[in-house]
This record gives sequence, structure tokens and C-alpha cells, in this order.
Amino acid sequence: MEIKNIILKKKFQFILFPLLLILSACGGGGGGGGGGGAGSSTTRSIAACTDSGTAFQTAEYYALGNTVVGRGLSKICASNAYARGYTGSGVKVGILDTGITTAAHQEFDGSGKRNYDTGSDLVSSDNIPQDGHGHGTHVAGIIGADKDNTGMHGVAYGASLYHYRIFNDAGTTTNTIIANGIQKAIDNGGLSILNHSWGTAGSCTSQSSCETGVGSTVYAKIVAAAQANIIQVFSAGNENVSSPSYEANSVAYDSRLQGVTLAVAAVGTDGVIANYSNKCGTAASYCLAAPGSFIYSTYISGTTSYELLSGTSMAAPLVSGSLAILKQQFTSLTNTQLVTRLLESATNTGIYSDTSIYGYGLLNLGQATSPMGVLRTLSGSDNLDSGSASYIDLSSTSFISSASFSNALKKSLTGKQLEVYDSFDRANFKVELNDLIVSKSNVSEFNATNHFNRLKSKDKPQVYLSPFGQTEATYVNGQLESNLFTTYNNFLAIGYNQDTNSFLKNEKTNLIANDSLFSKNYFNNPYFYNEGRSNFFMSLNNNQSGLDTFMNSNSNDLGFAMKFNNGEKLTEDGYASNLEFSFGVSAENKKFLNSSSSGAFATEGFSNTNFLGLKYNKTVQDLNFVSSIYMGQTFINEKESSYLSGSKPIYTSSLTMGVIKDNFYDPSQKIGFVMSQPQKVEKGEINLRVPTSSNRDRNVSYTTYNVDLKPDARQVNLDLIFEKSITEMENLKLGLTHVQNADHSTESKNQNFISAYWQKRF
Amino acid sequence: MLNKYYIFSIIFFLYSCTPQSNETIKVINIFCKTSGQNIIENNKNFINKSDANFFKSYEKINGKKFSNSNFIVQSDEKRRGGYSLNLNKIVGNKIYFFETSPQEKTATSTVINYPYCEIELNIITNNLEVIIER
Repeated sequence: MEIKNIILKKKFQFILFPLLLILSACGGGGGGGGGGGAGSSTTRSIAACTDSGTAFQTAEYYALGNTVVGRGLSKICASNAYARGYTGSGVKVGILDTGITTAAHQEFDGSGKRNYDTGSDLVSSDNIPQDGHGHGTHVAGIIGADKDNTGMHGVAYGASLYHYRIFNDAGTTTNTIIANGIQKAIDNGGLSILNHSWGTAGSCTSQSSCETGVGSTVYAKIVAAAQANIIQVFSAGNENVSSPSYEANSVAYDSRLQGVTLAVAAVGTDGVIANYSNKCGTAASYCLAAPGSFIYSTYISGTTSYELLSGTSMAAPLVSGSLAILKQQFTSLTNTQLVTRLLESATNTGIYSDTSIYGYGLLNLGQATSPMGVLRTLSGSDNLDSGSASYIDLSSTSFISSASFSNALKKSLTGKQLEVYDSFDRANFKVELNDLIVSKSNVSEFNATNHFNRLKSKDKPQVYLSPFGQTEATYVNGQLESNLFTTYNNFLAIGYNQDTNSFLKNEKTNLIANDSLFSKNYFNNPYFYNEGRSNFFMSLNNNQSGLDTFMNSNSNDLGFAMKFNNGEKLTEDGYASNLEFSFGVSAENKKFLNSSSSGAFATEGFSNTNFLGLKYNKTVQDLNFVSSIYMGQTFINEKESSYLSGSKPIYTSSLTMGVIKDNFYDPSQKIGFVMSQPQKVEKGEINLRVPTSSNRDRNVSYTTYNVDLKPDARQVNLDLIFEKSITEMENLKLGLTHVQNADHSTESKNQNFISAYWQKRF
Repeated sequence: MLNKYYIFSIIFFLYSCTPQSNETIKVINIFCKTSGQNIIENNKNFINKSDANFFKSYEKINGKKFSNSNFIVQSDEKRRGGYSLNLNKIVGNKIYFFETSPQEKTATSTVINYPYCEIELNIITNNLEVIIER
């Protein structure tokens, strides 16, 4: 048994002071829980990223940056992407270079690392693009070397690599070979990204001069690749001039390349533009920078060989690999949108704000894989760009579920996700459905504060008599807290923050239940959700029938009940039985079963609950037996385009039974035992139809989750209360409470509370 | 005659004991490639085994081809691929290399590199001279 709290309070002039704390608990815990515009922005301010994927920050991770933290992969915050679960898996990246080592290199023995098309070796005209130079193997390692706890790993270690050998072992080639290599990559048909860590030195200032510099044969193939929707990444060149070399600069002047072509400058180990790197210059609108100096990657000298190389050749594959990660993550984005995202997410503060050097800035994979703008839910359409698509900020979407089914709801949705979209091109992200659900908890009533609130005696109300009846009013700090007007014959009762439950007006025993928040709740109508403040009640009664009404201050909750009882009065020898049958309806605006939802989960109008209630009270001299049972049938008023719907009614129940003995060994003492079950769903389901995937045609697929709302257990509260009136101004209460299966969950631990409460008025 | 023979023997002996620098320099093994790192620092273009920093340079060669290298020649930093060093000729104590450059307006890799040759010579002398012709 865990001692949880010990409290005993004394009241002086209505002020409570703790005297002794005797509250203990066994177990404890459990339950509860819980349109965007498109494309580029005109003003950006992207700060340097924080490399936060700690689980992925291994020695192998830092190796690519020459084992220096803050360089290489950590400089671009690649671990953030890995932590989100993206590695470039499933994305095909082509590499036009000197080939790939055919040795059993440990970094390429994973699946998909050495893919060859027929005729991949354009130099030797064979199928195996064997690297005898080393450059291509190094570039390939930067993009996708295995993550295997040895050596280093590439930025997109899950990507599939396709190698095309267009340079011989001396590093030279011809335009024909290059053109054939690009065509071979196009013919593959499945490549998303093509890395070009090569170029022709020289500057161009127009499409024609670029084409002349590149060579018309090669230029035509570069255009053809772009028109085949392949993202091409070019190294800017190492001549330390103001603009990229011919191939990389061509995008500045040829609209056919724009959108799917990038130029990449290199920064040194200090993060500043490398002393060799060409600057973004005239290609600034299609250019960014990435680490390129002293990059540690795979080499051709053996199965475990690596080399430190520098150059824009090393910066470009970091960008290509990053694009592979984006391609895997954002299934809703076209290749052009992926390129735009990579550019717009680049760090552009500080030195990187100089667009003539860095273009869009420094590659920032952490930012690129994070939501840009706000996340929103989609409804009203299955296409992201449709005019009928409706977007609601995710922050305004929530579901606050009643404890009557919160346990079942959470369990049903465990591991289930919905897709949401950021406000930058509506890139898709996954969100756990349970993260949007807040569970109300019955157990919260049993925290130390509330436990005493349930036990403490009410402040003695001021009573006003009038020719029409009696008004009781309670003030706290001069403010009217509650009042209750009843006519002399109890025909009419009107309450403000005080219910008009005539059933509890026992004439003899003055039930403990009627004198504490504790039991009183058990005998109130559970479908009149009088949580919080500012609730209004009205009852009209004759001896055998009546009606109750309920309304909260903003009229969102309305209730109406007819009731009938046998009207038996207490006899002189202390016997009476009182049976009350009631039925009615409660209406909840934009909520149901006291569960409110908003945003994409919203309901609208009034959801109705039809209920039946039966209460029984039998007095046998000093013993008073009480019981009540309520059952309800709830119909959700669905909102068009809401994710939430419920075509079938939800059935609920609640019950209470107990006995109170007056004159317990002494006329000043009472003892009561009450067992109760809070409101619980007995049968019911809701449907959640949520977006779960999207494709590059911007079409969205929805999945409907059928959620069984019946909890896996039944919460039972057992209360034992002893009350002693020491004097008229002084009384003592002792309470013992046991809660089993809190919030109707088998996973909740049992809870026990012991408390003592002493009150004295002066 | 005896004296002449004696004098000839002395002269022959003395000749045989002259420094080896007069021996013909021969290349036993040579392998030329490019390195991503600056193998020989301090702006030198060669280093031999008698230099205290030789092994430091030697260790920088990725993919050493033979274990008896005693001479390394390196060209200056290149900003793109397509360069290579080749042994041209040896004349006396002068070793001539020819540096091949990529043609203008041709595509090359965009990597910083240093063409080098890893060499095993038959002798190591301190008066060797390396000339890289372009």
C-alpha cells in the first residue's frame, strides 16, 4: 500500500485549515491520458538547424564529416530526418560518374546499393560500371553508403543507387559518352534524382552560351532528363568564380530545366563558402550550398577503404541524398515541389543571407523534413489542390472524450495515424490519432483536493423566507455561488448551480448523500452534464409526477425529463418507500456524451440522448436504502465533412446503490456505504474517416477506422462514510473510498483513499 | 710493370669506392594516380625515403601499390579531375614527369585532387631533381 496523502482539516469561520492529514492510497494512477498557399515565400528567415535525432548520432554518422561534430551530416541535421523515419528508402538515385567499386565493399553490400542497367558502363561499353578512379565510389558513398555500424554512412542510406560510368579511370570522357550516359539514366524509367558531380569549367550568360559551353549533344540530354521529370543536381564547380560552371549555370537561363535542376556550391569545414567553390551567382534562384570539404566516404582501394575528398563534387551528393529523403517522406509533393522545398528550407540567416554566394542558403535537411508553416487537416475533397478542399489548422482539431468511453477510444486508435498537410505546398505529415485525443477521467475526482471537496460539508446557506416559499443562497467571498428556491409545497424548485433533485429530499434521515457533493452526484441525472458553473435547474412536481429541466449558461446543454413516483410519505413509525421513474432527453450542442470535439472532428448542432432512469429509496427506521440506474441512447449529430460520424446509437449506463444508517451507535452518528458505477458505454461505435496517404498527383486516400466505444472494464467505486455531529457547529467526517478499474480500464490500478475531515464553525 | 699494375689496381679500387650518385638511376616500380589529399606539404613536389617526413606522406596515399616505395612525386593542387602525372625520362639526376591536363571545355569531375606518382627507385640520393613538364 502506497501512502498517498494524509489530510485532516479544521474549519474556523468557514475557513479551512489543515490539521491532520490522513489520506492514503493503494496503487494509484491509471486511466486518463492524455489551405495553404503554395510554394515559395517572398521573405524567409530560416535559422541554422539543431541536430536533434540523438538516437542516430553515432560514430558512423559523424564519420562523413571527418568525425567532427557539426560537420557533414550533423551540419545539415540529417539525424532529424532519420528520427522521423526517413532514409531515402524506395527512392532511386542515379549517379553519372566514374562508376562504382566492384570490390565487396562493406558500405555497398546492402540491397540496392549497386544497381546496373544494361550498358551502364558507357566508357567500356559493358554492363558493369567498374570504378578505377575512385571519384564515383566516393560520391556514391556520400549519397547512400550503408548504415551498418562501420565506417560511415550516406545521407540517404536507404536509397537505391544506380551507377553509370561516364568517366574513364583517368577522369576524362567525351561528350558522346556523357550524352549516352544521361540517356541511359532516362531510359531506366524509375530514377527520381540524377547526381552530376562533374561539370565544364567556364561561365555563360545566356542559354545559348551555356549550351555552347556544355556542348549541344550533352545539353540536349540534360534537357531531356528534366523533361522526363528527373531532378538533376549539378556541382557548381571549383574555380572559385562568381557563378557556377556551364552545366550547373544552365538552369538560370533555360526554363526547361527550372524547377527540377539544382546547382550546389560547397562550404568548407568552417561553414563558409569554400575557397575553391564557385558561387551561386547567376544561378542563385536554383542554387544552395552544402558541406564539401574533407568529406570522408568510400573509396576503391579495398573492401574497407575510405578517403577524404573535397570539392563541390562532394556537396552535390549531399543534396541528392537529401532529395531522396524528401522524396520518400513527402508522397504528396511533385518533384518540382520537392526541389522548391529543399531550397526554401535552406538556412538563409547570417552569412547565408548573401544570395550571390549561397543562393537560397545552406542545405538544412532538418528544416526541410519539418512542417513549414502550420499543419492542417484536409476535408471536403480527395485532392489537395481542389477548390472544394477545406483545410483546418491542426491546432484547432481535438477530441476531448468522456471517461465513459475514453479508454476504448484510445485503445482502438493505438498506432493509427492520419495524414495532415503543412501550409507550404501541403506537404504530407503523419500524426498519431491518439495525440489529438484528450481523455477525461473519472479518477480525477479522486485527487486529494476533489476528494475532500466531496466530503466536506456544505457551507450553511442563508435562508430567505417569502410568501411564496423558501430561498437558500450560498455565498463565497461575497459572490452568490448557488441558490435554490422552492415553493412551500415543493411544487416548484428553481436552482442556480444547485440542482432541484427532489428525490433526495428525504424527510427523516437527511441523507449523507444529500449533504455532500460526493453521493449527491450519484443520484443526479447523469445526462444533465452540470460540470463547472452556471447551470440552471427547474422542477415542477406534484405528489406523483413532475418534470425536471436543465440548462447551462451558454445554452449548449439542455435537458428535459418527466418523472413519476409513488409519492409515499414517511410514516410515523419510520417506514417509507419512494420509487421514481423518469425519462427524457438531453441535447448537447456540438458535443455528445459530454465529449467535445473540434476542427476536423467537429460535430454540429445538437446531439441527443434519450434516457430512462429509475431511482428507489426505502426507509426502514434508521436504515435508508438508496439506488438508481440510468440508461441512455445517444445519437450523434454529424457535421458534413467531419472526420467523425456515428450511424448507430451509443448505449450507456450508470448505477448507484447503497445504504445509510442513521443513529449509528449514537444519535449523532451516521454511516453510509455506497457502491456506484459511473457512466459507461455498453454498446456503440463511431467512425473516423481520415486521410492516410496521398500521391504525387495530389490525390488523397482516406481510411475509415471503426471504433468500438465499449471499454474493456467497468469502473466500480465503493464509498464508506462515517459522520458525527459533535455539536451543532462542529462535525467530523471519515471516508474510505476504493476505486476499481478506474475509467473503465483493466489497465488502471486500484485506488484507495482514506480521509478525515473535521469542521467547526464559530 | 708491377708498379703500373699496382697503380692501376689502386685507381680501380678508388673508382669503385666513388659515391653511388654516379650510378644510373632506374625506376623499379611506379604507380601514378590522383590523391584527394595534399600528400607532400611545404610546397615540395617530391619527397624521398631519407626525408624524415616521408612516411607521413606515404601514409596519405590511399591504395598504395607496392611496399618498397622510396620516392613520391606530386603535382600541385588541381580543381578538377582529368589530370595525371606520367614519368617521361630520367637524365642524370633529373627525373622528368609529364603532367596531362584535361582539354579545355571538356567535362571533368569537380573534386580537389593532387596527381602523384608512387615510385620505387634503385637508389636514393639527395641530389635528385624532379621536373614536371606541362
